[in-house]
Amino acid sequence: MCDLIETIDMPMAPPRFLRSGAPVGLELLDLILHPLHVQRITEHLVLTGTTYVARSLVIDVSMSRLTGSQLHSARLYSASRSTPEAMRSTDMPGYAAADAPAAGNRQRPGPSQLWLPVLRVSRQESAPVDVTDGNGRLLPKASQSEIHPLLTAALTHLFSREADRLGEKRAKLLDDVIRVVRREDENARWLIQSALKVFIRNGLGVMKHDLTGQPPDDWPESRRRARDAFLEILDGGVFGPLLELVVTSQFVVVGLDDDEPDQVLKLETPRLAIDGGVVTRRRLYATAPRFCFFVRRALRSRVEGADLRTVFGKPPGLRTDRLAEHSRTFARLLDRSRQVGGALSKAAGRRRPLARCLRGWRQLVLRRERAAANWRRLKFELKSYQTITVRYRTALPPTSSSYHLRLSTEENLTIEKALLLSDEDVPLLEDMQYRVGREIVTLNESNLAQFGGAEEITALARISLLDTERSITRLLDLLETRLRQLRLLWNSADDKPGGAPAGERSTNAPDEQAFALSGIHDEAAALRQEVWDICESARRSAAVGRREGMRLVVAAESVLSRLATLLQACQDADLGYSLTSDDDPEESEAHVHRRARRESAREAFLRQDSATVLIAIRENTPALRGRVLVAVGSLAAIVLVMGWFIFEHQLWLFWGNERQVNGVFGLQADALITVLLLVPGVLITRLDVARGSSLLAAIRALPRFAAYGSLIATTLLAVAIASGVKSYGLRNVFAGCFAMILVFFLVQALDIRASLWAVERGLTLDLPVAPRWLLRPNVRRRPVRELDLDVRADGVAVPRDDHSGPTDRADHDAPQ
Amino acid sequence: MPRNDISAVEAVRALCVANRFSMQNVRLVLAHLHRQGDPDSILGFLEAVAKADDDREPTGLFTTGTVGGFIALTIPDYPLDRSLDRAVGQLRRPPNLGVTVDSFAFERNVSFLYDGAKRVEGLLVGAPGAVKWSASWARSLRELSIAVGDAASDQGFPILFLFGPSAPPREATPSTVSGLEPDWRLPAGNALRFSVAVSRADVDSELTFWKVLAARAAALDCGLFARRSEEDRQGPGWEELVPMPGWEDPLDIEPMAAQRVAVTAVGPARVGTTRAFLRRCADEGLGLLSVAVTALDGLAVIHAEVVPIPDDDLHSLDSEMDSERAADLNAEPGPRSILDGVSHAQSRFDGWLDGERYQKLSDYVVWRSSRTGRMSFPPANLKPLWIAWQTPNLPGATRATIATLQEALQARLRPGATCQIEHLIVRESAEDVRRGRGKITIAVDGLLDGDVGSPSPGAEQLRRLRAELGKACALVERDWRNRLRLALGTPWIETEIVWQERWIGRLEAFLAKR
Repeated sequence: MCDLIETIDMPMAPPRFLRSGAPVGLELLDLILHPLHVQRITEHLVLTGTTYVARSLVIDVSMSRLTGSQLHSARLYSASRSTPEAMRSTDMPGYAAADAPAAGNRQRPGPSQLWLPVLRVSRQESAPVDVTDGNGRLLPKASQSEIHPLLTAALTHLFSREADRLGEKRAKLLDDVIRVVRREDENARWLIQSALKVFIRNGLGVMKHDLTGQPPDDWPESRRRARDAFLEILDGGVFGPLLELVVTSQFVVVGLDDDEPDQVLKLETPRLAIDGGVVTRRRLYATAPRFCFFVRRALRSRVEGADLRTVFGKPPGLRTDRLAEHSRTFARLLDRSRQVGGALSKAAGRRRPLARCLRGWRQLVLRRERAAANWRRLKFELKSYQTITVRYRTALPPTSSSYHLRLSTEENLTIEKALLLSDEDVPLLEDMQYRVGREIVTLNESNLAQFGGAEEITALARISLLDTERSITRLLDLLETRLRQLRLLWNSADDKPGGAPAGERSTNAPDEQAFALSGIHDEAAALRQEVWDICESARRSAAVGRREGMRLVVAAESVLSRLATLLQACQDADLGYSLTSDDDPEESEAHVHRRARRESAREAFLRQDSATVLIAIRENTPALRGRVLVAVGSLAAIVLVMGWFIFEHQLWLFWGNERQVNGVFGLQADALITVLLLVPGVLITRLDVARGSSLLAAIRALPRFAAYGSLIATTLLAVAIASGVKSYGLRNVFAGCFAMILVFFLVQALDIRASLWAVERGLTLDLPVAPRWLLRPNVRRRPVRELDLDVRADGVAVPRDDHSGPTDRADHDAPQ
Repeated sequence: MPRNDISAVEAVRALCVANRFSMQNVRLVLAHLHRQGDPDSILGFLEAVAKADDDREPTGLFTTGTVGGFIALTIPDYPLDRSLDRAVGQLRRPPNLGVTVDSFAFERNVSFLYDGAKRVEGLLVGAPGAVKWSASWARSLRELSIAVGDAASDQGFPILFLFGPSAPPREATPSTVSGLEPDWRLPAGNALRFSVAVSRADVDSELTFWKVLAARAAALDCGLFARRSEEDRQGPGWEELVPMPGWEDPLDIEPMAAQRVAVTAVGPARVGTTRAFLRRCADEGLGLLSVAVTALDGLAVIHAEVVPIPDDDLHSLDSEMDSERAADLNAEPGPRSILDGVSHAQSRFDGWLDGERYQKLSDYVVWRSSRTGRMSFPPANLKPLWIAWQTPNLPGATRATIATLQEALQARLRPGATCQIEHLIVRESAEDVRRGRGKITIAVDGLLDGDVGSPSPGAEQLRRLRAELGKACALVERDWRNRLRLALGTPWIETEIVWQERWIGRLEAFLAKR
């Protein structure tokens, strides 16, 4: 925005925009911010190919959930779209409401269509959408060019009110920049208005170049003022989030039939391209070194925590995009280095069984990062054991409506597990951490400065204790939720048919996993008890003096620093991330959901939680592998027997007579070639090795590779015979061909063996962003292999011993 | 620092409402009742307003009744609508209503934004045992109010609720702490409740607020308590920050029967107005018998019952305030006194809040009426009950709620037992429901079946008292709910009556209303 202020021509007249659109735009914005009518959003993903995914949305709209004033908003907007006759008709909503403010809102207006925003999508994902109602009728949509002027008018209005509000606060300062812009400098005002207009119309994409530091001196005064005032108002906290919302999203506004209060809308979106495309490359897998995760986390928090001022102070879109892009590139580099490191460690061959090596070797990764699409990302990874992990990153709707994701895939594939990972409680933890940190600082200061009376110090200590108690209660709630999720995940993993034999491991696993969390939980509960005890004794002791006050402060400080440690442990364990699974995968269908949360509905309209859905898919009929094995094996047998007959020795590979094609004994080259070309051809065509870009084909890549490989080997042999090889000797050619087929045979056999192991061991999911509360504390020592739900991540949970670290640090910070 | 997004959402909503044709203005109807806390006169007034104003429904209601009755109603208004003025004019005529009334129109105040998700509640206790009106009482309450006003305004926090006199908390004993024993001792005493919206992002200011307030409380020799929220699962309802003085009655001196004036200042809510108003009172040497501040629809309503008190000497003039002295005060140079020419009729009092010092209040309207007669202190046998309710936004819902509550109580109470409304706030919420909260004082003896009112009950008696109270409250609550359902014709009614304050306010918001 600021570079717009910099680059746009200085307007010499008031910019043209729809001033009368402000009320309507505000009503529309209100509906967007409080989409109470959107009850449920059901997303349906059909995973069939590796290049795209078909996606459709079903939105349950219930107009009866709209409040009277919102209904009024919708009517006002609808009326503004309709004909002048309708506007002039007697039941114009505004006047109707004026007659009877409470009840009159519900009168029927002239237009029978009610226009409501039903969905907000990222501008980067600006694909056309078809909206149909329950009967399959296409519904009209408002175009963005129609919505943008309204929103521009609304935001301009909001901007000036915000300027008034802030200007009023600082009424004393006559040269205050906001005041000057608002009252005197109309050029600056026009400049901001026209910049807003362009900004909202074009979204974040208009950024031209980086703008850092102070504006150059040769700027005209108005331009400079406009920039300063704009930044000040962005800091005010009201305008910024709304502007961000409007420039990053676009809104699907549809006209609904006013007669039916409850409707089910279906949104058909174009197929979503998958990041991976068809690019395949081998990737070596290794358990990640710990530091990678830290670096990644740091990067992630940097990108997400970028504060608005910096985002807008510099060109926003460019900066975030670039930062995100850089971080992604960096993460890729890290991946690569990790792979190399893993390969090296494997080469060193320390305690790595063959199967693990093979599993690592067999990683096929289908992915390609798309540059700017940080909105919805799909990622396919073909894992060993014939399992594909699909990662679907999406932004959840506001928490006032529930979100369901239905997944379906090809018939021959089974969805083994679907997990929903969302960052819904991250702000809560961060808020708490910030709060506790500030309280420690304040207590410290008052402790050090030795100022204030006894009452003051006592009151400060007690209010901090009260606050601590609240924080711990909230934290305990959160911990209980996570423990419940953990148990559910593990139990569902236990119940899975074909899972691990219920030995000690799998029954122990949940307890062991829960250990770190329940340790934190117990500690928090103990801390709360301690706070209660301190408060209780403070209540009982009648003495009020400086000494008592100081004692209380010290007690509060120690409690707070312990809470800070606990919070740090929670943060380290990624407690803000929730991971849920519905555990109802049924053949090729599965479902995950996030419930609507009422308690936070008021706060969460602007915030959109981001979520990652992880889907593990495997083939449901692994018989093909066996057939391929038989086919390759029979080819090997044919070559072996043929060699035996030709070279007249059972061990012709090592001994026997060298023969010349068409030589003394009249070897029938044509017949040989016919056999070598026909038999494999017939064998391979009877196998159903899927081709193309389907998921099945991706899963069956190795059997196909083996089958085609052996076909090529026999064809090469036939070619060699036909050309009458002399230089290498026929026996060597035969031996080479046989060796090739044997290798394919062995690979296929090991693959089958690996898949059997996979069935024994259950599912393997690779979560690059797995919350660490899910992991066992001692993952670092030995890789998780024997667990049922083998969740391997780039990081490990903090062992309990490690808690001493942050404790020490916090104690150190607080001088006693 | 966490970013605060809530006020952004609220700002859009406020601007939306302000931009609607029908709601550009807010009409504020003020009334001073002659009988304090009487549900009948409140109802009568509401009926009269509804009748005179063609059933236009108020969006906000605030009434107090500890000292002198007071009602404020906010009604959405057209620009330049005179019908309401006429209606209010009609209201002035019938003398039997026992009210003096006036109405004022304001533009919608869209700049009053605060983070509604976080507010702190507290209680300042001056002299818990005081049961008589006296000059030192009035001064004490004024000082407490100014302390809150200063501490909040300095940190930039808006005061959402200020109310005194209110019930002082008991000394913490094991039975009160665990919630076994009712937290009653007095229905109202020299105590001031406050509720202040703080910013979630700004922890430092919040702590400073408490620190400053604690220092002031210690200097004034009064107690400071913080309200424990419903999240806190153990401990008393009020957390003691500064211990309050003992219960022996330091202010138990001759009551005064001075001329008193009810003053109400209304205007767009903003940070610092309460403080400015209280400063004005202090400058004029006025003490507060009661103070009630709240915000309705973005308008601040500051109501106070003021008496002139001598500034210099505490004890010589605690007795009756003679008119000579008042005349002396009035004769002082400077701005006009609020006590100038008070007659029985109400009057607008322009210019009282002008001047450099009260700059924040320059657009406020001051309205006053004189009060006569001896004031009665709430009798000690009245005990507080807390009520809360939530109804769909139907026409007449507020009236029906108060009427049915009164019916339900009357049906249960022994004949002759009294019931007073101490304060009630009703607001229309964004979810299209109407929520109300309040406190009523009734003679609990009349509500209970057995006699359990011994001064220091044993464990068995406490248990019985608890059971009896719980039963009585539940019965009245059910009766009230059923009556209200019948009256409004909808099942979506939530009501609550409890005898412990910390149990109130657990109403789930509902969305399916129709």
